[in-house]
Amino acid sequence: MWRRSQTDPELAAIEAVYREQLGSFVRLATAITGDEQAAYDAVHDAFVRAVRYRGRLRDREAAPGWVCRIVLNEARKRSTVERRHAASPLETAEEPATNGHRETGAAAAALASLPERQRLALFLRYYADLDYAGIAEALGISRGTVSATLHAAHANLQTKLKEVNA
Amino acid sequence: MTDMAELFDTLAPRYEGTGDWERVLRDARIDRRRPLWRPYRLAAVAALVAAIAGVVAFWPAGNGTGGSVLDRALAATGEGAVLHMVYEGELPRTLVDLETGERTELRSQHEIWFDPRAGLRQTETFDGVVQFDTVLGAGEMPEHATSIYSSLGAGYRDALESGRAEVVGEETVDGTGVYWIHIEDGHDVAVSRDTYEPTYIRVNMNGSPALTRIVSYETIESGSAPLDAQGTLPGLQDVTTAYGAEVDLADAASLLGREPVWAGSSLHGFPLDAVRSLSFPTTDGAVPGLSLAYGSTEGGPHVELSESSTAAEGLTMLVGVRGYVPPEGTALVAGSQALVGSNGLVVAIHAPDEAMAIEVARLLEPYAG
Repeated sequence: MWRRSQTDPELAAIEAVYREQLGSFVRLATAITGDEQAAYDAVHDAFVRAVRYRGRLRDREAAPGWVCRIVLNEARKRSTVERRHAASPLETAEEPATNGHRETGAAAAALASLPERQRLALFLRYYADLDYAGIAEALGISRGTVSATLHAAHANLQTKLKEVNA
Repeated sequence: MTDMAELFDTLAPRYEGTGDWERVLRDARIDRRRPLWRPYRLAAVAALVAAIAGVVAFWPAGNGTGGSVLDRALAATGEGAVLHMVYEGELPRTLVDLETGERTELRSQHEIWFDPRAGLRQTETFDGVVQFDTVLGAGEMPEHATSIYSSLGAGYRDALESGRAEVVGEETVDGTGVYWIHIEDGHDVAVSRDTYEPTYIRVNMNGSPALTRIVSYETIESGSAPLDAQGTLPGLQDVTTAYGAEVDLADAASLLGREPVWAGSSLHGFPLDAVRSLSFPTTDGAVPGLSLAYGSTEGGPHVELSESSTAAEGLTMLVGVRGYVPPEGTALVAGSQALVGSNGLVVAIHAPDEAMAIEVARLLEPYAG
């Protein structure tokens, strides 16, 4: 079968990102929306958008970060809408029952208390496994700022986790 | 639980699905079973392109490029009624790495959601920290905001669609190739030569053009803007700092909750000659602080350190930011003022000039008694 992506390199690049990183992006969106189904929908819509607007993809090498940026936007949109109806796990994680759950909840709350950019940078690093260039593309910031942001995020989170465990 | 990977796994379990790429293509209205270019068509298409190129080469100057640019700019605007845009603030601040001296320019980012029929949300963040977040209903929006954002949303699209817009130039701005499109009197938009998305706005007010960089631009469907007031930040509180009594530096730990930081007993030969308590107003009541002044009574380089364990607005607003603490090992510099995080304290440095503010930031250390 003739594949359109053979003559449409941007489409091929986006398809490759879909096949390689769908799971990572769904996890990333789940962390933001707090709901896996909403996260899958966000990722699906993000890829639809990426395919429609693939003419804006300047550098095919940057496709993972570029698509990830759209995923972030879609997930954040849903998060904003969902927040009107129900809080996400990050926000409801403060008062669990058992000790292990209490630690998880408090750690999640510590993560939720980070500035948004720091939190998203950590999500992109851990879930989407993006390198600094990919995170820079996804967040629309410089690579130097990525480094400083991740450093600050780790430091902040460790401090908060130590407080939790104290 | 301190293991990061475990924490992240708990928050969002691994996803094992394989997705549905064909559905993505269907929803994007792409049918890859029907190729856009079949090989046997390529020669004919190449001939057609060459013929058009030949015609355009002899076409009267003006509309050959312009029409194409305007069409593509129109296609890049989207079709929604709500403008969602992020743009950069005009006044940069500088983050200085105190070890290497490396300087990073930081600008605030303004995100706006403008629904002409429902309202306006404006959020300003500085390096990820929210500075302002306000929601205004349709009847509350200032006239100038309605005018500007209407012009950038539906007005921009209307200008492109109606033929009122006009390509007036092309240049490279900060390394980005752009086409300048004139929208209306005193109002131009630059679109990227690669993506045709708006990248700069140039507003000419009283003969003085102001350039604003657009970080992202899209129009979305009505009702999609997050115009609920939940999560918004109150406006700036009173940031007047009150000086209190002189205190002994050795006793200051009880005031701050930890050892104060200082730049030594003297700076450039001028002594630390005044240590006073401070009080910063916050929404939750006043928080204590400490002021250390060097050379203030001897005509020296008057340097003042203001410190607190809280990023009170009265402290951080000395460098024009709200609730922001620079990463450890860096200083946020604005003119001759600097802001640093040191020993768990937030410290604002007032100095005669930027170089000395940075020098003092490097000298800060806990007061050991």
